[in-house]
Amino acid sequence: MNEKILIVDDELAIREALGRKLSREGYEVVLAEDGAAGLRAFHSERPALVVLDIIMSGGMNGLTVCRRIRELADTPIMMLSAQAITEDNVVEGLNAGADEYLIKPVRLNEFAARISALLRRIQLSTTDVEQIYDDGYLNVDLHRRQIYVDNKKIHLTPTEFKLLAVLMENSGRVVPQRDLLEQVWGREYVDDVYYPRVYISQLRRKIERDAANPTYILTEHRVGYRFEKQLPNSTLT
Amino acid sequence: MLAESPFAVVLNILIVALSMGFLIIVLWYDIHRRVNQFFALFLTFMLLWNVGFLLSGIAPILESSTRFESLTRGMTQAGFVGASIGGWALVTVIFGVQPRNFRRWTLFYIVLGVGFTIWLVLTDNLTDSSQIISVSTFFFLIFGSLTLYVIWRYWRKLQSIALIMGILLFVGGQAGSFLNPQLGITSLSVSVSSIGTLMISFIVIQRELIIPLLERSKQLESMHEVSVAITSRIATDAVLTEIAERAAEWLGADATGIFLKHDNMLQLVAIHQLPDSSLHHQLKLGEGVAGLVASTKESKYLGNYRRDWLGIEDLPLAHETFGSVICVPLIYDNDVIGTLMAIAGLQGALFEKTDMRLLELLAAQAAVTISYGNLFNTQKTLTDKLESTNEQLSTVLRSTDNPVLAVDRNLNLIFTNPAAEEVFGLDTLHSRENIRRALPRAALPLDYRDALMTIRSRGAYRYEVELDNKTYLCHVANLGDERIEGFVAVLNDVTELKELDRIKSEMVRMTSHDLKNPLQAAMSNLELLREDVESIGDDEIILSVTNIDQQLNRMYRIIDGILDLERVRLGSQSDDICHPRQIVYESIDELNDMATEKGVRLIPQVADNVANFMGDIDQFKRAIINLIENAIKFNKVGGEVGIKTQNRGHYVLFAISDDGIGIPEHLVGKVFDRFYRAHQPGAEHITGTGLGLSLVKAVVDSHNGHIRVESQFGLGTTFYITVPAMARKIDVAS
Repeated sequence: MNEKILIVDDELAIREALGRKLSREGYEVVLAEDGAAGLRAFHSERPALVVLDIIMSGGMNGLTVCRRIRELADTPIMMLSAQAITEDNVVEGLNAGADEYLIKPVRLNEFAARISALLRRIQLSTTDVEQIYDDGYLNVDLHRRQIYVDNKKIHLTPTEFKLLAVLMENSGRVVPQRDLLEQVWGREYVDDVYYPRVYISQLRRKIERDAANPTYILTEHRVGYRFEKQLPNSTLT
Repeated sequence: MLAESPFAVVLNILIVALSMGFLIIVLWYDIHRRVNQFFALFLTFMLLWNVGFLLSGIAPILESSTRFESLTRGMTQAGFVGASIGGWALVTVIFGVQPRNFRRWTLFYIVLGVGFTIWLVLTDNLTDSSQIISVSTFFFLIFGSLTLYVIWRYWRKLQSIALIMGILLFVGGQAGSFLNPQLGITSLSVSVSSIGTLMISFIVIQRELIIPLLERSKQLESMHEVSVAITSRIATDAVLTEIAERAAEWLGADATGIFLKHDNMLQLVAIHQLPDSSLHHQLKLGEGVAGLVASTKESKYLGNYRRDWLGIEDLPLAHETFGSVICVPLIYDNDVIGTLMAIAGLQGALFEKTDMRLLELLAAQAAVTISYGNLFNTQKTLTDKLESTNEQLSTVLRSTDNPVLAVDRNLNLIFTNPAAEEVFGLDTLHSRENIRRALPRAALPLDYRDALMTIRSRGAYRYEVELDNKTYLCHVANLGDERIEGFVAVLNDVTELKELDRIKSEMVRMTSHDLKNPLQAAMSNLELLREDVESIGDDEIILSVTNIDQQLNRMYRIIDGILDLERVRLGSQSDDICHPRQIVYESIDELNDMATEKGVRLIPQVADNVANFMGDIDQFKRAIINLIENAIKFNKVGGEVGIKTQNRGHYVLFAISDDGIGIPEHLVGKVFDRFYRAHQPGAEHITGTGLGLSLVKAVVDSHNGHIRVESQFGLGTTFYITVPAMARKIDVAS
């Protein structure tokens, strides 16, 4: 393994405990005590995964750091928050580009399991599924991870990509939420129903003509989601 | 016979006139009375005797024929004999000692005596006057003696000296006429007899006419007095006592008492000449004479209480002290309201049956008075109460800072208090105006229909009103009991409360957050420590670590519970169509393991036609799960938890019931408070944060629903949740 993981948290006790746990699990751990230090470490250490606390004293909070990282890389980001109350808070974090949002306090074992699930997801998303879809407006090459919308190359996060891939592999069929959670996020996540909701809406914003009236990714109320192929002649520019 | 003295003649004429007068009066007044009949008989013969005597006196002056003379003598003799018999008969009747068939016998004697005398006259035996006289003497001796015998035997019975004197004079006068006709005292003896007759007449007239008439008028008068006295006043205790007094006075009773009926008991409420200690003495219906009278509604007359009444005594010592007793029911509108009892002492006068009728008369009046008095008192108390309540209410309404408005069915204002007038800028011009015009839109419910429906089904409706930067909670309730006559709205200024609540929530939230980082640090480090010590294998350290871990966990759950609650209170809700069946079965699925472990059976009961409702299905499920979880936790092994859902009017009802330990009565109202469980007896061993029910309530509130709990300590608890149902789908099958 030996993946390098960056942990950014202003609480020394937490930062070190998380770090020690991950070290014991065999990861290489880099610690940073605030946003700026975190960003510096990200550039210098190139970690495979970043754990970010949202509320940090000092100038930069976790959300900002997350956005700054996203401008540069797809590196999976796990957010930790002590402040989230409503789903809106979680959604805000996910929208900032995080792949995972955990609410403190989190158990170390669960934390470690989620880290490994997240890393696994990234690896899986680069798998061998060979499929090319093109209707003139949307062009997807799953194998090469290349997506063009209206002939413009767009960028998807690993989770978004994985989600799209699972839906396209089952195109025309409804994928139940639990299945989606299990296949995209991992078995540990089957109850975190807000993940698909957030990611679907992000995905729609990126690939649909009108995210409010989706044509590719359709919602089956309280069941799941379905990818619908479009006829090439429906393409409009 | 010798010529009479002029004085005797005048006297006789006077007596004749008077006797005729008396005769007419008596006959006219009441001919059916026996005394009157015999009196008339007696007077008639007295008249005959006197007239005959007068005529015989004037016969020589007229120089009439011997035939006329013999006629007058016949009249005189027949009158004399008849008067003798009549006198005896009258005396016998007055003394009330007549034997059977007395009237017939009297008639027989008269026919015999008078007839024989007349026969003698008619057969012209007049020359031998001695024969006639001997006949007269014979009859006189017999009946005069009989008369004297009656007087001698029974004189105590009458105690009227004048009457006895009169009779003696009459008999004496008659006797005088036998002394010696030649002495010339015949006229004197007639006069003496006549004076005696007059005396008798006076007494008889007085006894038979004047006294009854006087008594009747006296009765009328006292009846009138009683009526006026008791009907012109309200039946206070004083008036009841007065009724008792009057009744005693009227009947000449030694004591009287009034019993009134209360709840099948008779209570002595007014007394006259009875011992004070007897007041408020109680009798059951049917007990004592009073109780018997009250239950049978029949008046009762007892000649002798001790002898005639063997039941329970009406009053203590009644058997020892009561003589004659009359008890009559007080009846109003066919109901016995009590009894009136008149009592004569052992040594007192005897009542008669007629006294009972009199008392009944008085009782009728008294019953009316008492009933009206009671009605009046009841009404007066009610009116007074109403007035004072009204006044209090009015004062409260006017002095309260809360705006209060009332409207009629058409939503026209009918009442506003000063606070309402100030808040809404109303003045008298607005009175009776429709509130849709008189009040700003913000003050009215958003949805009238919903408001009306809620008021109909629940009797009250609440909504928030924002006016001039203030928040009011407006409570609307029905006016009128049976049908809705209008509505009354009370506004509470909750601005500060809301702000306080907001600050409190904020503080709770902040605190909970601030606790989370230390908790995270502590828990994480503890986990690392545990991994370390587990490899060392020191049991005591592991035990300590486990304990710390459990406590941290508990802390975490409490914080999480508070945040859950805040999430529901603040959070945005998704608007899903919620299927009660799905909620119930999914909730049960989640808790099946827990129930099996505890040995508790979960019994769902979902009505087939149960309606859907709008809400956040996850939140709602969470609430139901919390309730079922509680029901399992607080149940006994082998217990049951019922999860029922059905329609209830425009609402969907969920009922979660257990047969567990129940909630003590004084805690039932507190179960929805945060952390209440900490204080519940019998539940100390049950783990949990005590926040579950607060969360349930928050969820139900955010769904515009209601939650209610019914519990019997030791028997079980049922929670009822109602949420507004979605409008029913129209059946498309048709």
